[in-house]
This record gives sequence, C-alpha cells and structure tokens, in this order.
Amino acid sequence: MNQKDDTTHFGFKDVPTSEKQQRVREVFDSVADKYDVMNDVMSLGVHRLWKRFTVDMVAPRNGEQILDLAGGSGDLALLMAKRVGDDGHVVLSDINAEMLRQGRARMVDAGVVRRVSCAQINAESLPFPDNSLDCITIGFGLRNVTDKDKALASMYRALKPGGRLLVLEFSKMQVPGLSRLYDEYSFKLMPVMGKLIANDEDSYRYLAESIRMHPDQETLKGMMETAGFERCQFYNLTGGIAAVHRGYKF
Amino acid sequence: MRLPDSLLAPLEIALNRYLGEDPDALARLAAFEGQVMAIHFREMGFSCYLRPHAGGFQVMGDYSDNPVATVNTTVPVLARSLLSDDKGRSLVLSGEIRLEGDTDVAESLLTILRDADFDPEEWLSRHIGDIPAYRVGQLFRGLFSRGQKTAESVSQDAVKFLRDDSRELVARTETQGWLEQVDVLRTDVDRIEARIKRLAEKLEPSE
Repeated sequence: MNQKDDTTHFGFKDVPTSEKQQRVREVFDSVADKYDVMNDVMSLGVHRLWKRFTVDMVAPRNGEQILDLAGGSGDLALLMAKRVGDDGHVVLSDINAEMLRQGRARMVDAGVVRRVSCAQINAESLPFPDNSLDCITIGFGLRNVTDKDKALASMYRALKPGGRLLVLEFSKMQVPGLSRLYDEYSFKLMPVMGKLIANDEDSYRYLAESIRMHPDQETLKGMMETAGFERCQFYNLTGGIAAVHRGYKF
Repeated sequence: MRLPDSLLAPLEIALNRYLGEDPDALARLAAFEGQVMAIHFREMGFSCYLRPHAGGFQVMGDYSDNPVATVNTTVPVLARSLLSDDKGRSLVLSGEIRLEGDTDVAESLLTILRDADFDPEEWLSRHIGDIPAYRVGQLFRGLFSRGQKTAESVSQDAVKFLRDDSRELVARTETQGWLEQVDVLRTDVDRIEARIKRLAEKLEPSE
C-alpha cells in the first residue's frame, strides 16, 4: 500500500516505490537456497499445516486451471497439482527467478511436471486473459507486493466468474497475551536464526518487519471487497499469526 | 449468535471431502450454484449458511442477503433426518424440522447430502493402496460384527436376568396369558353388565 505519493514501506523503512521490487528480489535471492529449511525451523513445521488448510479451502477440482502466485518452492502448487486431475493445470509462478528455479526443481522431483508449468510473473500485472482462471492462490507473497490493490484488481480480472482467490499471509495475532512473546520471537530470535542457518540476518529482519506492516485481517478483507471480490471470509490460523482470506468473483 | 468462519472451516472441509467422493452429488449440486440455504440450529441459537457450488458448499457464518431457503432444526434432528430412510419426511411432518422459503431447494439440497455415496474403503485405498484398505475394511467389519454380537449377547443376558432371576420383567408368554385373561374378564364384565341391564328393564313397571 502506498504510504506517500512516491514511497512505500520495505519492512519498517520507507523506500521509493520503484525500488521495493528490486529490494524484495534481493531478499529472496539471498534466502532462496535455505527458504524451506528456514520455514520449517521458524514455524516448527506449522507452515505445512497452514498450507494444507489453505488447499483444503481451495478444494481444487478436476480440470481446474489454477494460478499459484508467489509460489516460491511450490508447497501449495504441489498439493493442488495432486488434486486437479489430468485435465487440470497449475501455474507455479513467482516474481523471483531464483525461487522459481527451486520450485521447478521440486516439481520435477515430485513427478508432477505434466500438470504444472512455471512462469516468472509479477502479481500486479498478470499475463492472463480476462476470465480465464478458476482459482488464484498467493501464499506468503502479498505482503511483498508493492501495490497490493493493483495486484488484487489484476487477480480479479483474470478469474472466471465463480472463481476464487485465496490469500495465505501472516496477519495480526488475536491472542493478546501472546502478542509480546510473538514480537520478541519475530524481532530478536528470527534474525538470529536467519544468521545461524542462512547466514543472512537482514533478510529475516525484513521478513519480521514486513509481517507487522501487512494489513490486518479486516483491512485485507476490505481491500479484497474493494477490488470486487464477494462473499469474502477469513480464517485465523494459530491465533491469527497467519490467516487465510477467501473471496469469490461472481 | 454468529459463529466465526474459522470454526466453520472444519465443517466445510469435511462436507466437501464427503461430497467430493461422489461426482454425481457434485454434478447435482452445481445446478443449485449460488442458491444459499440457511440452517438455523434453534437449540444453540446460531445459523450457518451453505452456498452450493460445483465443488461442494461454501459454509458461511453470516450472509447479508436473504437465503433462498431456511431449515429450522436442531443438530440431533438434522442428523436423524440425514440418516433416515424416509428422507426425513416424518421429521418435517412432525414439525421437528421446519422448512421456510423455497422448500424445494431445501429438500433437494438435503437429499443430495443424504444420498451422497461415500465408500470409506475406496477412499482409504487411494492413500494406502487396495490391499491394505481391504484389510482395514475387513478389520473394521469384523470389529463391528463382533461388537454387534457382543451387544446382542449382553442385551439378551440382561433381559434374561431381569425376567427370570430378579423378576423385574415378565416373559412374553406370561404377558400374553395375562392379556388374554384381561380380555376374558372384560368380555365377562360386558356380558354381566348386559344381563343386569336386561333384568333391570324387566323389573321396571311397564307403562
């Protein structure tokens, strides 16, 4: 979301809007190799349950055309590819070529290459015709998008009537007593773990800061409704540390 | 009361997995796409809203428009209706389930839920293979059958004890004999009543 006319936030810093994409790319280039390991360590594996829940709420059907945005190493795409059948297709996409390379290798290892294709895509301007996709998912990616409203509008355009968008993203903790503990964990422990495991303290500090700057549950729901999505709902996960938002285009 | 969507999510996932096992049910459901049905659980005072689509139901805790149909019921009655052989008609007729709005839509959606064909063994075979799934199925059928036999045996033993030892219950033959004696007595009373009436008429002076 734009803070001022020509700046946006990058973690807790304000940076020129034109620079954010490049800075986010540098972060993910830096963490790509250890991204999965770090996710497991930092969330104690809980991110896998969140992703399974997200795919359950997608409920992919045979023959569906699904776009997984900011798909990174392909956790969501892999789960969905198993459920779309031979007639369905999942596009695993990411704006970051290095993350996408990891994802593509993972798909090959999992043997689901026929149902999945990979594409380097900017969520703000999707290269798909209007009304062409059954479902779009974006897992832990929306907060890194420079212009979220533009991205949501682009997703709305590309979805078929009846199609759905699911956003899995870190959100606002809903358990008051745990908020402080969570802050300590995010701002003190996460960068240290980033340094120890991925030898990159700054990137993990950015991840913690970007989570705090991301819109809370109700705000994101409102943004989806503004973009045109209907019947929007959100589901808090692990006390609101993460949330799944779902909206439909009718 | 409004239930948060997070609490309704497991219901939606379970419902859609159940329906997903029956492509025919999903095809029938697709015909009702967008026709929202409310289910109001009166004992708990909350409603949930089911929006059918080709992949199952979207389950919502609130709905800003008017639902096409409303099912007013309780959780146990709804469960009985979904398991009943008469498609829940007796529960509707007795008023335990109240349908409002487009009752055709409500009945059709409940029928789809009731008729969905779910084969647990088939489902399991996709995860652990045909033979292990068959074995697990066999194990459960065996356990169920043994459980059923045990329950029947315990029930028979309890009846025997209550009837023959503690004499709390009466044997069917004894009950029948007693009922027959009651019938004989009733007939005798009727007969004697008729005779008394006739004698009384004879004793009355004729006009």
